Amino acid sequence: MTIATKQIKPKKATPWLRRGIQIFFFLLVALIATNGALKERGIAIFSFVEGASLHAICPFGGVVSFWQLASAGTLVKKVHESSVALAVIALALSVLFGPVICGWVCPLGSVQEWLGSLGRKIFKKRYNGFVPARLDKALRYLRYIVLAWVSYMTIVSGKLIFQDYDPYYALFNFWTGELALAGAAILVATLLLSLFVERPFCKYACPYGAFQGIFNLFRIFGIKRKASTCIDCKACDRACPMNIEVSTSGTVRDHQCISCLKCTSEDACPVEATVEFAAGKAEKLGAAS
Amino acid sequence: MIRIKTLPLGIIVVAGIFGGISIAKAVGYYETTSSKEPARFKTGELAGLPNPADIRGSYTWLDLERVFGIPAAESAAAFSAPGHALNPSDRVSLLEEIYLAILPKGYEIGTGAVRLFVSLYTGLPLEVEEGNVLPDAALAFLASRPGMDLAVLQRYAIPGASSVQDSAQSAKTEAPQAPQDSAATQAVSSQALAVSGSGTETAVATGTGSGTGTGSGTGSGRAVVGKTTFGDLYDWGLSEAQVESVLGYKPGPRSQTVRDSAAAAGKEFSDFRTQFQALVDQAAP
Ligand code: SF4
Repeated sequence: MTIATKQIKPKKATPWLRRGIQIFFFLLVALIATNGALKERGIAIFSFVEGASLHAICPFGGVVSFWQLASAGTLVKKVHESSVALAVIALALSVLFGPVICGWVCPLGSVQEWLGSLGRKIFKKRYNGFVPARLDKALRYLRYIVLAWVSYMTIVSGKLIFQDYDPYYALFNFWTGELALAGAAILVATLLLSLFVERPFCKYACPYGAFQGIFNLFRIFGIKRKASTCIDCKACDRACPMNIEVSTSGTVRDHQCISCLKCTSEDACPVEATVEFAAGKAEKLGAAS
Repeated sequence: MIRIKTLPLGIIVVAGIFGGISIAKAVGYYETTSSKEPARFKTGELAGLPNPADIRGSYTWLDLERVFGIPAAESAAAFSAPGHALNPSDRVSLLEEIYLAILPKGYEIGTGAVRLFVSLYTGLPLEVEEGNVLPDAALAFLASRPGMDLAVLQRYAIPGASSVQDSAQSAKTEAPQAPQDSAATQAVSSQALAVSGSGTETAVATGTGSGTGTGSGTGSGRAVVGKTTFGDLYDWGLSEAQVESVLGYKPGPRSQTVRDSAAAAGKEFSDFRTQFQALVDQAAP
């Protein structure tokens, strides 16, 4: 089978869309969190957006509060109803589409990605390939240890134990004086590492990413590769920020996929309808079209 | 077979988030700030009463008065520290910062201490977090409550501070506090003090071991409490004119307590305490 017999697709349809949504959520979260912090200090605030603490708009607070909510009917300190509501919304999206919150919404993920674009310019093809494969594979499970530790400590203490280590919190609160040294150090390390590795915090340390990643094992919509039209160019593998080997998969069940759709035929894959985000069996893809 | 492309997925993600938020708001489950209404006990005799464990740092003393019936001015004054006179409208989260530099390592006066204070005041049960202690003035305030077990209070004294017995003595010289008992307080007033849970055992161990000092007042000795005399105020740098301007009448002899003077004038000591504490703090060297 030659490339000529395949349907070569027209060039990238909507590469700007995901980035646009990421920028939108980054600005929104920055505005809400800044407004919330200013409001707490009694300073005049931007009237066009409601101020709230960063914890109030982070679904992870809702996740770690579930135990306390179920057992005592109360929320972990600093967590509000909104976090629980957002956690439920994110849960529904994850069951359907996997970690779209990570790939499309999370501002810390976006910042890492933007710095990654710079790293890609500096290191070209070497970018995102510095960590030896075996070490990388082992390190990817570290975030589950972080998730277990954070969940356990939060249940035991009733406090948002992760705040002091959370680079996401540090990113939006560096000016408030509430910044913990550990959180600041992890943020700086994350930003620096992003120049060498794509989304280092997401891959190795993010407890919420770990939680979201579990849904990749059974999400309804997933990345499917149609082997019969695949030309084995490995463009999908190279495009994947999470270093997933899409080119050898039928359906991507990797716990690290962030549903960014970069590998799909709409973006990296040069062949029409070969790598797609769909529900159903991989090989049947395209049969209906 | 359903395929989703980038544009529809983007729309679904954005619409899903904002649609979900709208639904949550519509059903009344999207508070981004603390509602200032703590969760209530769900079962047993206490069902329906507010749970002190759910007090947040964003609560003010006024919120505590509204929910638990503890007089805001009194409790704010009881938690005031030298150089930090608290107002009833202050958030209780301020305490952590204020007491960080004052307390010995391993002890904390913050939102947890306020929960403990409320629990002791109302008799509502609480699992006490390790290391939580209460300022002398707060213990004295609690000791003045009828039926309060001083031995229990002593567990939560700051190591090296005055004993609760001392504070209680001074508190007893004060006129009845006339607390504004809430439904919560009244409902549990017949119960034994029910601070419970394994965390309490830890707090008992630390409190008992080191909480029997014999000093007076707070660590700096400049807390305006029931036994504070006019002489104390003058010694702490206040002029007679300042004292008179706060009282609104001529102060009594040096040996008279501010409390007794206020009672004799038909006024509440709490009306003056915060102002005196602020002046004393200003005058502090
Ligand atoms: S490129 Fe494909 S496989 Fe890799 S994270 Fe994005 S959607 Fe998942």
